[in-house]
Amino acid sequence: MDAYGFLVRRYQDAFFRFATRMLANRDDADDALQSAFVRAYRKLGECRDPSRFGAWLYQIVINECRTFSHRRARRERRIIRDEAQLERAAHDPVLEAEGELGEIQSALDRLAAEHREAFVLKHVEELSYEEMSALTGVGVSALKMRVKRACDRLRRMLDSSRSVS
Amino acid sequence: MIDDTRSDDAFVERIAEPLRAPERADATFEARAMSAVHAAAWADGADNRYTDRSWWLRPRVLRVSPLASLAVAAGFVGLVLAGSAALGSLDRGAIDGQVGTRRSIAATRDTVHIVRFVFLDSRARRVALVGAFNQWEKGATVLTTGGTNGVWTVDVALAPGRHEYAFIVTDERGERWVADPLSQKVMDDFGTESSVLAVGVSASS
Repeated sequence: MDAYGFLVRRYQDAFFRFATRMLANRDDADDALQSAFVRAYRKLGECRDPSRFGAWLYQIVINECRTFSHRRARRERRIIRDEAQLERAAHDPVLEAEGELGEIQSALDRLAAEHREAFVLKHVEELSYEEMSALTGVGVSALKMRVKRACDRLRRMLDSSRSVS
Repeated sequence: MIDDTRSDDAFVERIAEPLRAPERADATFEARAMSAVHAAAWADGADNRYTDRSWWLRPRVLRVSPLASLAVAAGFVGLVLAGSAALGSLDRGAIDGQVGTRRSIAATRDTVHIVRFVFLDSRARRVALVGAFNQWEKGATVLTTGGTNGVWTVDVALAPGRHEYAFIVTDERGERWVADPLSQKVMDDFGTESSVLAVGVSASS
C-alpha cells in the first residue's frame, strides 16, 4: 500500500493537468483523478507490464474523465431545461481562471468531448498520434480528424469572441 | 496552403501554450486518494468474503426442552472443556470466559438456547466472537477449527432476547471487525456495524 502512495505522488500532478483541461473544473478533476487511482488499485492485477504502469494508468484516467464528462453533461441537461438558459450556460466560463487561459479553457470546454480529448492529448500533453491511439483505442485517422475539427472550432470560437470584444 | 498550415500551427501553439501550464493537485490529494484506496481495499475484502474466498452461515439456534436441558448442558460443558484443552495457547481470561458460559447454562430454568456460530474462511488464522453476552471481550469466545477447510465454530448458550454480535477475524492482513452479512445490522455511535441475533424473540423487539 505504501508503494502505491509513491505512485500516486509520482503521477498526480501530470494527470491532474490532463483532468483539469478535460473537465474545466478543478474539483471535478480532483474527483475524477481520485476515482482513477482507486480503480487502478483495484485492477492492479491486470497491469501485465509494470514498466508501462504510467501508460496503463493514463488509460484509466482518460476513461474516468470520459465518465465524469458524460455524467456532468447529463446533470446539466437535467437542470437546464430552457434552451436560452442552456445557450447562456454554454458560454459561461466553467473554469475560474482569469485572462487568456480562462478564455481558452472556456472554449475548450465547449468542444465535443471526443474532440476536446484528442486536442488535449495532441497539443497539451504533446503525444504522438500513435501514442494517442494506443491510449484511447481510437484509430490514428479518426484522431487526426478530431484534432482538426477541434482546432477549426476553437479558432472560430476564439476569433469571434475577440471580434466581439 | 503552406501559409495556411503555418497559420494553423501558429494558432495551435498560441492556444496550447497556456493550456500546458502546470496544474497541481492540492497538498491533501495524496492523503485523500490513499484514504479512498484503503476504503476500497477494505470494501473489496468484504466482497471477497461473499464470493470465492469464504462464505457464511446464519447462526443456528437449537431449542431444548427443560427436561433435556441438563443433558444438553452436560454435553455442552464437555464441548467447552474439550475446547479449552484445544485452545491451550489462549490466555487465562479466555478460558475463564468459557467456564462462565457453563455456569449460565446450569442456571437456565426454562429453555436453553444453544447457538452454533459458524464462520468459514480458509485464510483466517484466528476467529473470535464478541457480543454483549461476553462484554465484547475479544479473547472470551474463540472459535475453533477442525482442520484446513476453514470451518470455524463455537457453541454459545444465550438467554432469550436480542443479542448483538460480531466476529474478530485475524488473517495475513491483520485483525478485522466483521459483522455477519446475513443478519440484521445495527450501527453504534461510532459507525461500527454489528449484527443482531434474536433468540426466542423477534430481532426488532
